[in-house]
Formats: sequence, C-alpha cells, structure tokens
Amino acid sequence: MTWGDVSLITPEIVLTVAACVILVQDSWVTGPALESDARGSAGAWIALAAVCVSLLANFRATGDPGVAFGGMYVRDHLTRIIDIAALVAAGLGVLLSGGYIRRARLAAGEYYALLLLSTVGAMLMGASRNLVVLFLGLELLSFPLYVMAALARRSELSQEAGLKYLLLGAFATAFFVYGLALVYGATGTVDLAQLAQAPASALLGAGVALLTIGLGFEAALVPFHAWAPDVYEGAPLPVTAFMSVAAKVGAFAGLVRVFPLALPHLAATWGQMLAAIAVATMITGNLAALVQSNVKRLLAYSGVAHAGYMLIGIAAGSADGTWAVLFYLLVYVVMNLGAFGVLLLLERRGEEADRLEDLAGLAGRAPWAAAILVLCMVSLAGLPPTAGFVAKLYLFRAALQDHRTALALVGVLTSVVSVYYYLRVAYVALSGDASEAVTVRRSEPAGAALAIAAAGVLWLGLFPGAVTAAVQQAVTAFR
Amino acid sequence: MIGVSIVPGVLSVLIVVPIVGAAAVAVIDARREMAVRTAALLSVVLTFLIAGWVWIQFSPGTAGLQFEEQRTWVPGIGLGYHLGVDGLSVSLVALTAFLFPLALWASANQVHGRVKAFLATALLLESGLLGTFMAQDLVLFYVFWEAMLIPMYFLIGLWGGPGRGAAAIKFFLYTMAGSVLMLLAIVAVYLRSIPVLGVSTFDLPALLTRPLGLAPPVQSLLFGAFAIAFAIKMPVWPFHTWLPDAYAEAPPVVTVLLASVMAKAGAYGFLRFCLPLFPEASRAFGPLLSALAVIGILYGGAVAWAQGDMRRLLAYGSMSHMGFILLGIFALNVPAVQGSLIQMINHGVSTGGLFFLAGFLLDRTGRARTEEYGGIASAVPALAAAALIIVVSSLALPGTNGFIGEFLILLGTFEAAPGAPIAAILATGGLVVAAAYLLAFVGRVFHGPLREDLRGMPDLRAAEYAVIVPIVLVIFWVGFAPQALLSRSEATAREIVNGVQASASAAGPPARPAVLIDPAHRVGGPSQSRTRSVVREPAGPAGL
Repeated sequence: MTWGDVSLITPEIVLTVAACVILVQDSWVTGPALESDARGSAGAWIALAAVCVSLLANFRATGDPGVAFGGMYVRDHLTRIIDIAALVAAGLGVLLSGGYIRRARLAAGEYYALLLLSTVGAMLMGASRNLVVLFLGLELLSFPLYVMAALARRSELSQEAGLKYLLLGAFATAFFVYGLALVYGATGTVDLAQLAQAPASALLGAGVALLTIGLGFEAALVPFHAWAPDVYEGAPLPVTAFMSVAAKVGAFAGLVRVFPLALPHLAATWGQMLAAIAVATMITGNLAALVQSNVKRLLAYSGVAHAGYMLIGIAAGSADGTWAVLFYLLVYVVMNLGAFGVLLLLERRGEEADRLEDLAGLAGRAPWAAAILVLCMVSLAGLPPTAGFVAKLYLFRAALQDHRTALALVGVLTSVVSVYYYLRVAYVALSGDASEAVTVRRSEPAGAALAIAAAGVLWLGLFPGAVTAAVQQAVTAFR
Repeated sequence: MIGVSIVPGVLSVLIVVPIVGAAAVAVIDARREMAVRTAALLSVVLTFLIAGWVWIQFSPGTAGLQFEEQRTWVPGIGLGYHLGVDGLSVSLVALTAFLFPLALWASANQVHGRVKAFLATALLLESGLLGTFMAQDLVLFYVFWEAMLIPMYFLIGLWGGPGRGAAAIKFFLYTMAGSVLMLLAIVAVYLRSIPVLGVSTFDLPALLTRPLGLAPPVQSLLFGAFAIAFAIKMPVWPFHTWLPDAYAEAPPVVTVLLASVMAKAGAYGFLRFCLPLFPEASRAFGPLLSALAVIGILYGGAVAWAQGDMRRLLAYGSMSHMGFILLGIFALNVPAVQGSLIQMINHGVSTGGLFFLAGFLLDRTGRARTEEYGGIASAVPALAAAALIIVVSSLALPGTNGFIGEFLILLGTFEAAPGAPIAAILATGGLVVAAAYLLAFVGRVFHGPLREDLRGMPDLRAAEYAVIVPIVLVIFWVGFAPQALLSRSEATAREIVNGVQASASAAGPPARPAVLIDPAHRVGGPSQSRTRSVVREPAGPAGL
C-alpha cells in the first residue's frame, strides 16, 4: 500500500472516518440510553459534510483512471459516476431523514454512520476491478442496510423486515461467493480485467450465473425480488428511501463491471439470460404495483420494475446500453428520493403515512410538496419533459440499436401500465380532502432536499446534455 | 444545451410565454383570484398577439420552414432543438393561440374552485400544444406530444364531471398506448440516419433529404406505429372509444381545447410525419385509412344523431367531421390535402364554437341532455342565433368557413383514384347525416314550445359575446375570403403531395399505387420541394 493508493480512495476514507466520528460523538452525547432525547447529536451534519467533501473530491479529480492496491481498485470515470450517484443518494437521504429520526426516536448516530458505510459499499462496487473487491463492496453495502431495516426497535414489522432481509441477503451473497469460486476455478483469476480473455466454458457460465443471483438480489430483479416489498414496507421510511436507491446503485455498478466491461466477448450468452430476466422483471414489477394500496409497497414494486428497465441497458451489451444505465441510475436516485421525500413529510397519528389515501388533499395543504410528488411520479412513469423520459429514451435506443426489439417493446408497453399506478398516486394527492389524522411536518433540510431532487428531475429532463456527455465519457474511457 | 447567451427566437418565445404565465399564476396568492386570472389572460393574449404576428409575417408561396430555430440539445446522440413553421403548421399555431384566450375567458364563469391550479395547468397545456405544432425534431415533437397529455389528464380528472377520474385515465392510457410505439418507431427511423446520412440525427428535415431506404415490411410497421398514435389522437374509427367519455366529462372549456386543438395534432401528425417519412407505405395504406375515414364519418354521424347527451352528440359529430380531414389527407392530392388543412382550422373554430355554446347552456341550467331543453330560442334569441350560425358553418354551407374545406376535400377525393369516387359519394352522405344530427340538436334545444321552467333563462352576457363574436367573425371571414388561409398552406401541401407521388415514380411499375392522381392536377410547375424529391439514390431502395 502506497501513499498513491490512499490518496486515490480519499472519497471512501472521508466517509468511513466520518462514520466513526459520528458513532463516537453520538455515544458521547447520548450516553447509555437506547432512545435518547438528547438533541446534541451532530450525526446529520457530520454526515452531510462528509458527503459534500467526498463529492468535491470526485468532481476535482482528474480524468485519468487510477489503479490502486495491486490492480484491485480502479478510479476511472465510471467510478466517479457511481460515486456521484451514491453520494447524492446519501446526501439527500441525510437531509430527508432528520425530522423522522427525531420524531421516531431512532438511534441517530447509528443511523447516519450505517448510512455512510453503506454508501462506501456502493462506491466500492463501482470501483472494483476484482471480484473479491466487488464482494467486499456488496457486503459493505448490504450489512448496514440489514441493520438499518431493523432500526425501529419497537416495531415488529421493522424487526421482521431486518431479519428477512438478512436471511435472504445472506443466502444471495452465498450464491455470489460460490459463483466467485467457480469463476476462479474456470479461469484461474478473479481479476475483472483478465476475465476478458477467458475462454467460454460451462464452469465459467455457471459461475457467472451465480454471480448474477447475488447481484440480482441486491438489485431486486425477478425472481430474486421477493424480499423487496416486505422489507420496503417494514423498514422505517427513511431507511426504505435510502435503501431503494443505494442498493440499486451498488448492484448496477456491479452488473456493469461484470457484464459489459469484463465479459464483452461472451455477450451473446449472457445477453439472452439478462434479457429474459429483464422482461420478467419489467412485467412482474409493473403488474404487481398496479394493485398496491400501500405507497411503500407500490414504490417497492416500482423499484423492481425500474431494475428491469435498467437491465435492458446491460442486456444490450453495448457501450450505448452501458452509459444509458449510468444515466438512468442518476435519474432514478433523484426521482425516487423525491417521491419518498414527500412521503417523509407526512405523519398519521405519530406513524408513517404510507397508505395511498393518506396522500389525499395534499395539494390543498402543501401545494409545493404535491407539485414535487406529481413531478416525480411523472418522471417515474417516464413521461416528458422529465428526466425519466430521457433516461428511458436512451435505454430503448440502445435496445433497438442492438436489435433487441422485444426488450424495447416490453419496456414501452409496461411503461404504459406503470402510468396507471403512478398517476393514481399523483391524482390522489391533487384531489379529495385531507384526512384529519394526517399532518404535514415541514422542515428546512427536507425542503432543501426536495427542491434539489425536483431541480434534478427537471434539469436532467430538459438539459440532459452535460450529464449525457459525462456518462458517455465514462464508458468510452474504459475501452 | 440551449445556450443562454443566444436571444431566443420568436417561436421559442411562443412556447415560453405560457410557461412564464403559469409560473406567475403559481406564485400569486390563490386568494387574489382577480390577479390570478389577469396574469393568465395576459399571457395567453400575449401569446395570441405573437402568434398573430407570426401568421401575418409568414410569407405565403414557399414550402420550407420559416422562423426557424435550430440548436443542439443533446449532441451526444443527435438530439436537436429545432423549431419552425410552414404552411402546415402556421395556421394551426394561430388557431391554438386564438382559442386559448377565449377558453380561459369563458372558464371564469364555468370553473369554480382551485382556479389558480386550473389556469396554470391550462397554460402548460398551451405550451405543449404550440410546441407540438412547431417542433421539427422527432424527439422534441414527442416530448411536446406526450407532455401535453399530463396537463390534459389533470384538467379532465380534477375539474371534470362526475365520471372524471375514469374518463381521464382512459384518455391518458389510450393516447399513451398509441404513442409509445411511435417512440420506438422514432428511434428506428433515427437509427437509419446513421447508414443513410452518415450522422445520427432526429432532425426531421435532415432525415427527409434522402430516402431512408426502409424495406417495405419495416416501413409498413413504422408507418403503422406512427399512424396508430395519430389515429387515436384524432380519433379515427375504431380508435375513438376514449372520446365520448373524455369530451363529455371534461369541463366545457377543456372540451373545446380537446376537440378544437388537440384533435388537430393527430391530423397534423399524419401530414408532418407519416406522409413524408413513409411515402410508399402511405400510398399502400391510403385506401385503408380512407375507408376508416368514411366509416368514421358515417358511424360518428349516426351515433351522434342517437345521443341524448348534448356534449356526447357534439363529440361524435366532431369525430365524424374529423373523418373528412383524414379522407382528404389520404386522397394524396393537392386540392384534398389543402382542403384538409383548411378544414382543420374550420373544425377547430366551428366545433370549438359548438362546445362553447354547450358550456353556456350547461352553465345556465346544469342540464346535459337535449330533451331537457326545448324552445329556448324565444328566451335566448341571441344565443340561438349564434348557435344557428355555428351549426350552419359546421354543415359547410357556402358563405361559411366549412364550405371551402369540405368542397376541396370532396373534389380531391373524387379525382384521387379509381374507386375513390365511391368514398367521396359515401362521405357526401356524411354531410346529410351531419345535417340530421346538428339540426336535430338545434331543433330539440332551441325550437318547439318553450319549457316553462326555462322561461327566465338569461340571454348571452357581455362576457359571452366576447367569446362568440370572434368565432362568428372568423367563420364569415374564412367563408368569404379563404385566400389568406389557402395561400399559406398551398406550397407546403403541394410539396407533401409531390414527395409522396415522386416516390411512386421512382419506385417503378410494381409499386405504382392505385391512388396516383391525374397529372393535370399536380397544380403548378416543377416541384419547389427541398431536395427530398430530387435526390434519389441510384439503387432506389424504394423499389425493394
């Protein structure tokens, strides 16, 4: 390990150190109490500062790809895009959750520390040049999420969600490790750069299939998605919000690193497999979302559906498909957190207002929040002039270019289905009368986060040029 | 990215003014309703003035785009921000800008509750509609095309009648299901630009400089994807089932916008995209679409006649009249296409007028069905007179605007091809049906013995005169002096028709269609078209 190696991983180090500081500072202030009313915890601010520093480090970095730790870690444009996606998710997550954490008396220090560590995991997955590092990132991403899902100590649903997530997640990671072993057995290497020369073999195929299970679980691809609705529903709302985007960022970073970048020569084989999974995921996610009356579950299935859309870009196997996925990830982070952020403002008699009817009459009480919710729903549905439309256009373009017409067809037709449930949410928020039981909790940080998310959705929808150029560069630079 | 330093062109201003108006409306305190309404009206009137200026400045006789603006939008994949108006769109832009002030003005009496949100949404709709008519980049067009659905969904769903929620989502899902396939077709056309033009671009004029060389089955598929999107929007029988619900449930002023402006976007799409991009498929499917048009004319008319609900009657009647426009488009000759273009404007004015009147009646009595009225002509003579004028214009009597359009369409269709006269004769039957249902409407509502409970009904108010008088003026102006409209559309209509027919002559005998017109009627001299009908690749793929 050299000084150069350390300077390359500055963004990760900043977050990790901040997580440790938060834990110490928090226990200093709150003492032994599990549910403290002490207001002195500076977790949110430390986390926010760390995220900003890490973001700056990413923007400041030069364009040359740097390799560290004996070629196991790489910091190139792709890493930077993934980092930005993960850090935006973390930053917005921190801003959005403050009010909720205080109201629900959750352990603030642990929450922010775990959130930062999980972010580091997603970033590491984007920076991995080696399957072992990818595995490390996957574990670092998911373990904090297991704990965070169970953070509400008094809620049985939350405990159940944490346990379910842990058990199924451990199962999926085991598949991943097994796949890693098979790949090593087949090729004699776990280095992603060297895999590109590996000849096709049944053993390698089996290994790659098992890796797909591990990553597919984290991305909530069908048929590995069964955990998502229950965990999304049971976990505390800010955790659900962060998890819904961070897990996707990490998983798709891994998928991009493994499939189009490391195994381009076998695209004919895994392309078919991923295309089939994408079709199943888009159809299942969208159809299941149609019948949900709980907004958290609805957004869980919507997350499944979006994983299916993004997989189109991976299955296309081309550079265009890959940068389309990166663009989609960035868009997904802002639009999904915008939607969750509005839910986080609401409270029904001290509980989460996560039923569809709780949104009724929102436009009358909080017109701006309702407008942002509508904007995010329109974007999730993939309608112009929002970012969701541009992101889908890129994906369908890549699919058609690669002659995967069936994928594009399923994509657009399921998008029509999705309009039904997204617009239902928007419609409820704009019509009807507000329920007495539901209150709107305004807070400045949450307002700022919502404004950032809404601006992101509009900016990426109306002026996508700069970000498009950045994600295109991320892919071409690798070749 | 759109450069900030560059002064926006006048067409961009047209799109931006309503958005700025919507933003202004959104920040004004909702309790200051007068201020909200004034801001909204100011922005639509300003839009109308700018659109009127564009219409007057538009120089007739040239086929190409005017007031063009072109900038890169997303250079990485060849997306452009390209606006322009030609003979096809300049009058539609003016029509849109003309109807919005009337609709927002009329909404003062008809829309109560959440006025601010209503006006902001309507302004966003105007922006989307204007953009749809001006966009010259395929994706930019699609952005406006889909973006206008969202405000329309909320206008129907939040301010409509009792069945508004269902009608709104039905409208949205239908139109979106139609247009997503168009999105894929747009991308497929774009992917052809790389081998054919050497650059990847979504720019329509650029794509039209050379034939795309699509194999006939592919061209048919792509044509179909575009055509279904436009057919649903118009709507063409059998894609019309969303129409009666949406038209009848929407607030009356929104129905005006649906019928008068949004339906035109479908017809416009056929002329702007289907015919130039897929000339061979347009000729191949022309007879089919003409047949659907005739069915729509007769079916819509017959169903309209049987309706008891005033706005459903007008809705089916509107659909029947849209059939004439489709018939004219796919006659594929200059008189018929010109007739269609002028009929789009006429239909917008006349149908808009009828729905305005229906809104006035609903506002007075709350009664939706025609049999609940009767003999009100003696109570509201001015309203009855206005209704008669607009009905007569809708029936295409000489001296009104409707005459010249339908006459040209039928004339063109008669000359179109062997077999086409049958379509024209059947369509003429549609005129008789129109007389039946429209006069039945007038008879049931305005004539006969006056119902006692309607005796005290107030006649047209000053505010309502402000809506009806401009419409009546346009009806007579176009009726007596259609030259201003015709001259603006002529060159473009000729270019579109020549483009389609030129591909037939390039295709060789096997592809020669049945709908080739008599050369004597290719009015005018040599084609003034862009290079498209001249530049042909030697191994004309059109003949494949």
